[in-house]
Amino acid sequence: MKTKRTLVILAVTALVAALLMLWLRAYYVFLATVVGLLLLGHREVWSLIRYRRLPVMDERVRGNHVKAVRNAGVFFVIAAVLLMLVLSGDLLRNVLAARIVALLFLSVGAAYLFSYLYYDAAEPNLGQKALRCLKVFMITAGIAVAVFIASSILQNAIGGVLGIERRVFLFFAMVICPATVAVGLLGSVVVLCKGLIGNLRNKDEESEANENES
Amino acid sequence: MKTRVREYRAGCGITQEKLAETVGVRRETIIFLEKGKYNPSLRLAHHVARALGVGIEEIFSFDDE
Repeated sequence: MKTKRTLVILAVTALVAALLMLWLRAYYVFLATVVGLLLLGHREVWSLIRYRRLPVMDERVRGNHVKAVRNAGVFFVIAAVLLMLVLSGDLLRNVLAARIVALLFLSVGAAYLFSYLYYDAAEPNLGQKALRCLKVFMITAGIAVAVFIASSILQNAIGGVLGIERRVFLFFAMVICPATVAVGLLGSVVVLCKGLIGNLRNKDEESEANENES
Repeated sequence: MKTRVREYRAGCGITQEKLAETVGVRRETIIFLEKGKYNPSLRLAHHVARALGVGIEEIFSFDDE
């Protein structure tokens, strides 16, 4: 956010939207709006509280924002198309299965957003080993999502074309893949949090050193 | 890209925070610059070089390969 005016306009709009959701008794949407806005504006709010000024919007941050918006758009379009494809088949007639798939997509979306928001702050504090771990966890989650999609399509295709049920694909899509995604996402988030904690410590140490110098 | 920002910054005796403030970027951007993980624009490279009192070619260099 470039100026205080932009921040104020966004905050007021968000407040109005949140109050509207409360009035409509859409409590989950209200909660999601508040949490989402706090996540997106946490740097600005923190900087205003601590330093009484907004953080600088430099060329790297601006570039990252552009990439994040573009990639998030692409991700949600692909996710929506695939979800609709899967929902149209026989696989998700079971309510529990639909919940697992919804949770899977929501988790991937949330982790994606989280990594974009915090990767820059966490990365400088992570060693080579931690970065390798993060890469492995993310690749694991990505492969599991790909296998899930392939299994869902194969399950529907084989069922539709040959008229026979292949439980192995169902097992992969409903048990193995969600479990693997959960492990991958959890691992990624833990490594990122480790980097963020390191970042906070470094900032404190540096501000102490600066105070000592002055 | 190879960079000698850290070396010159240490020589000048200024902190990452101070350099970031001088050139108008975030501290994280200076960290990425020092690690050679971010290729700055010509404008930013110029600002950094000027803040450290050296020429651009002295702090940033590219491998031919």
